Amino acid sequence: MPHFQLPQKHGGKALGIAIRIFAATVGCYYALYAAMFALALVLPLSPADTQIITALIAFLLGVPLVLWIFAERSLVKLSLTLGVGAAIGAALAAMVG
Amino acid sequence: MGDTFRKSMSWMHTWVGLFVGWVAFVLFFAGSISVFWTELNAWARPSIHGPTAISRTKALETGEAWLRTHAPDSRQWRIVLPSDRYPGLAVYWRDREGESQQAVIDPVSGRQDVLQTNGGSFFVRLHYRFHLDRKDLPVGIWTVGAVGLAMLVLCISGVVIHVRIFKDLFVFRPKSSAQRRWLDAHNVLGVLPLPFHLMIAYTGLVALYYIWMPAGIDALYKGSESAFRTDATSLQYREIDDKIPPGAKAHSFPLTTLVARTEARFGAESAAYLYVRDPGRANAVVEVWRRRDHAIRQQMDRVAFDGVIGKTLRVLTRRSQALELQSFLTGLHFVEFGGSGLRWIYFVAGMMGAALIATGAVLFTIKRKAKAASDQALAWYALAGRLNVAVIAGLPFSCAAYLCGVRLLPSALADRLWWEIFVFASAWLVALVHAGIRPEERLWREQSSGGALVFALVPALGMAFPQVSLLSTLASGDMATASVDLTCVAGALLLAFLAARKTTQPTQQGVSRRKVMA
Repeated sequence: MPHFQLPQKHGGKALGIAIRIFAATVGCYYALYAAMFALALVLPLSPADTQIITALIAFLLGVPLVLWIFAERSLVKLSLTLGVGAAIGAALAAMVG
Repeated sequence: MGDTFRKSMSWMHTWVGLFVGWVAFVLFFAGSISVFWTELNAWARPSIHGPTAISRTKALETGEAWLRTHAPDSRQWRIVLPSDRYPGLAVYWRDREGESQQAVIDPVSGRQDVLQTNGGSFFVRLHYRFHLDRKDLPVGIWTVGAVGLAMLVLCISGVVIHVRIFKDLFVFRPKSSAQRRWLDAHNVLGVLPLPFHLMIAYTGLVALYYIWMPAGIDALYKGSESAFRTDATSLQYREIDDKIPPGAKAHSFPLTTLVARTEARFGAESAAYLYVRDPGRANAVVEVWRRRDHAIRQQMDRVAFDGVIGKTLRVLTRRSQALELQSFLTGLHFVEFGGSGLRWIYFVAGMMGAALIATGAVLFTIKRKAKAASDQALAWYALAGRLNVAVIAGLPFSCAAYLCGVRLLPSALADRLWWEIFVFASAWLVALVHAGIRPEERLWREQSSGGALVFALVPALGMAFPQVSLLSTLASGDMATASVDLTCVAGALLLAFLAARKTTQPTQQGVSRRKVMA
């Protein structure tokens, strides 16, 4: 098979890679969504401005977050951090939608 | 910066780059062409071509008269005035079901052009949603968003893993090994336009921010995107409120006067188009929108008038700073400002982005095939190599086939818009099948040759329409139309050159393979 393996210190083989890919897509999105949802409730701006600013911030934060997901050595820390964030985000999205 | 960190970034850059790269190539290639979507719209309509001395007042009267005849009961009209980029007069209206309808009229003769064509809009829709409807198949637009963010990640990780980034900017060794050549090309194409790539990826996300990150809409508008858009884009004088019925029939204030009053405020020929809500009714509202090319921002200045007495209802020139920021960033992406010179810079920089992705994908297969440890791995990398050809050489081939389809399909053909897309999709399928069945060492050469042939065919087919043939457009100074054909000629020459050169690399791959097998 092709050489899919990450450096050993970064969680090694298939499971670690699967966790990181899930974290970099679904986890990252919902964690950002949760953070921006919370930010939207406290920003002292008009609703339209708030939506714009939170989206622009989310796109900026998404880049370092994805980089961190692939750089963080501890899969446990990674899973817990994003898992909690993503769960809140998914719950908020489900509540509204 | 730890070495392990760099290794993990390198791993991510390689694998994410490969899987995202094929889609990102489509985005960059189609996006680069999209900067000339208006010119392509004009090119696709041989019966309406510039440059002609068009009276905007007469064009407006023609458009209004046409709509009065063909859509008298519509609740919304839109009249797009001819411009130096597009000589046609376009009219839009909402039918009884609320669906948007469109007609293109020759502003000189007043006749409707019955030709149905996607024109340059084809590339725009390919660029931002792969022609998949957002409501029915949102996977298209969401994939584009994900790839946009991935592109930003890849740009940053590329800088992280590239130790000698600025030194290597000036290094290109055309006589070294194939792998080194592709790496050098990838580095040069990545570093030189890096600020452009970062800008275009971020501003692309900002353009459709409310789709990809609607947290604020969900939190503050209870998830109503339409309520947010009406609020953010100040569309209250344009949108139809179904709860308010149209008023009684009434005399209409002359549209030409309203446009003249707008242009007195914003400058001569500054009006781009106008909306008329409930035309010919007591509650009619006319909103005149300013052209986009006077400033970077995307949100246009507008003036709304009472459609019966002509009273000014609103002059919209300033918005909140957040809206201005988003409008500015989106304007940077859409490049409606700066004239054709800047659009050419965007086109070249965008194509460099496509080439960056292409060189990265080719580099991946060359490097990995040389190191493949098993037959299984070698087969996998061979598949990746074939997909590279199908995407990188197949997309230009199918885009050229689309342009041929625009010229060749009969104007009376039913569902012509669909058939144009069918031509594109079929050509790409042919490229995919070809990449799957032909010997690996011939793929690049054959697909590049095919692409060169089809690109050369585009201006040749134009000869069938004397008024828009390359020779006549050059003679009449219609450079917008001529540029499309000339770019196709340049594309044909470039692909023919690549096809002529593409002989050494597969041989080297073959050598590597034999070494591995031995």
